Amino acid sequence: MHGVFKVELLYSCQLKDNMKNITDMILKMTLHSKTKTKQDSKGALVIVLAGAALIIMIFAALTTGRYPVSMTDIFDIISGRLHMGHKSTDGAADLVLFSVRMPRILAAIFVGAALSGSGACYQGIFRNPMVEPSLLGVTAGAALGAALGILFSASIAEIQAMSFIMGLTAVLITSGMSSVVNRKGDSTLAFILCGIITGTLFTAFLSLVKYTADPDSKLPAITYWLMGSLATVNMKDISVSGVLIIAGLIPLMFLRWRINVMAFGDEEARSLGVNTAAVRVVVIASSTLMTAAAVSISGMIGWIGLVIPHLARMIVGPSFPVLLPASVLMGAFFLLFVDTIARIAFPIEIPLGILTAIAGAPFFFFLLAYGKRGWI
Amino acid sequence: MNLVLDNISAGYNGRKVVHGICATFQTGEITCLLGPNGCGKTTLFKAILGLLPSSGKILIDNKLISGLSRKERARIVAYVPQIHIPPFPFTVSDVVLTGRTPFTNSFSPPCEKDRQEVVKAMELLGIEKLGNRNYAQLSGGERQLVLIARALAQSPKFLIMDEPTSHLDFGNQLRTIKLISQLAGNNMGIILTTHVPDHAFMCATNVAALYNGNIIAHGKPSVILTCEVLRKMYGIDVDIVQLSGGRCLCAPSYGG
Repeated sequence: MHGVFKVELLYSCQLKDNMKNITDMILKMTLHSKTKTKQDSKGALVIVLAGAALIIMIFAALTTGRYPVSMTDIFDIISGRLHMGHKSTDGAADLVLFSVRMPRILAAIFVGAALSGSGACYQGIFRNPMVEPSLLGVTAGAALGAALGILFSASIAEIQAMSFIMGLTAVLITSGMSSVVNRKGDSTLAFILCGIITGTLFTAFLSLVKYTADPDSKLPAITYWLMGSLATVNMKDISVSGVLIIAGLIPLMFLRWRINVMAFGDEEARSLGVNTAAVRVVVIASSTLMTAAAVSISGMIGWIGLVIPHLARMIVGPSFPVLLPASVLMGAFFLLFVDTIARIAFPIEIPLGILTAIAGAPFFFFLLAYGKRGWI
Repeated sequence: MNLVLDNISAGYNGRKVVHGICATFQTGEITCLLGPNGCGKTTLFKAILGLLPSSGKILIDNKLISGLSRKERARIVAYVPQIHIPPFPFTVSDVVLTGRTPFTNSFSPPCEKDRQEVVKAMELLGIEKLGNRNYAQLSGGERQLVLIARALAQSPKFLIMDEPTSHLDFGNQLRTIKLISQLAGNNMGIILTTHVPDHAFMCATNVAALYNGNIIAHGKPSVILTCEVLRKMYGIDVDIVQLSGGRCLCAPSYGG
């Protein structure tokens, strides 16, 4: 008895030491100088932890579902795939893992990362914490594109392509209008107001399409698409959207310091040597590309682009070099978590848009009520 | 180093607000820009900073400023805007660090050396302890110091300050004026606007009186700031009182 207790104690001490060593190491990596602030090192730690949480969530999601697949099965199947000769022992598990769960997991990660990352960028560039990716009409355009695709009985790939193209078209129309409206230089306000015009117009067209759609087959299909789901994604969709999302994310990562400076307003940013017009164009184009690519495979999934950047900002602070990667990782984690719940929690699958709103609304309330906020 | 404005005109939507401004600013000197609301002070600042298109020439040591890139310009001329609150809860270090933007590559955040410069600038103003505080929660006087620290982090030759004493209490106004004198003592050229002519008497090397978009008088404060000029600019009668130490004060006449 005594001996066992001692061993356990020793073990727990070692574990504690190990944990301490690891956190020390991470802190040392980030705190290599005195000039780094508390916030910087905390930010780096949060990014590492969010990345680790995402990886754990991926394995949790792989093992979760109607068909039982254990962790050892996963490692067997993966090592089987790596050693070409070695035939996988369980064909069904292989199928479930690679054709059913993996595409959904990747889609959740890409879509969550894209919506949250672009939300953070929109908030930064429009200097407004209440802004979300749909601001310039991209989701309204994407919805109309998908509805038209469904109305004309297009294939899934064609529906996705139409939704993507209409999403981009809507933002192009917004930008075009704002360049006409904007004569004095306050381009931010012009953008937001023109986004409202485009959004309203495209939503009206969407209602028109729904009104004319066959109420027995097409109308439900459109309605379900609008609720958002990752149930039908396959590897091909993900490879296309994934490339587009990464293509949008790369310039944002490079420009993240400039986005930070632009939060102080155009005139100050320009007096600090930032080419604000160019940065704004690149950031809006990249964020729109990411959102359109995400929405085209997932349908309407609200709240992530608004709530996750807020949560990230409350944890790591508003400084964009840290905020953007934190938002991206946390958005990916959140959507993967919600989608895994959507797969298993209920006898029928609940559309994702509904779940993110149900989870997001009270969550956002608690953030506002009890989180440390700096903007009110 | 000198900054020369040669026949500068600028305005909005084709309507000129300032006309044919000529002026010379030297490093180590303080130029106080006085004038009524709407006379074109801010417009002139925006023209110097390149935020507004302007006609005429702006020269730095006889070289055209329009030949410089935005970043090169930001390393020579820094801007201290009026106190404001950004929409996000940035820390003081975040705010001051933005001053290093003209020294960063367009695609990368500031590096270690930039952070050292930030610490130096904050130490110079005695605000190094505020580093981790939320900028939005500081007092007006502290926020002013943070904005000046950010401008110093740009290590500029000229500092353009838009009403640095407005929004400050009586004591902080004086402390800011003293700080401005110290900075000029370190060979910085300072151009500031103020609505209080007394401040010009305290610190200015030169005064430029701006009225209806034109400089109506330019020179030493004791020479330029006469009752006539003040009446023309502000439309009120002002007595100029000399204190026993020699410094002048403005006393507007009031009622009967």
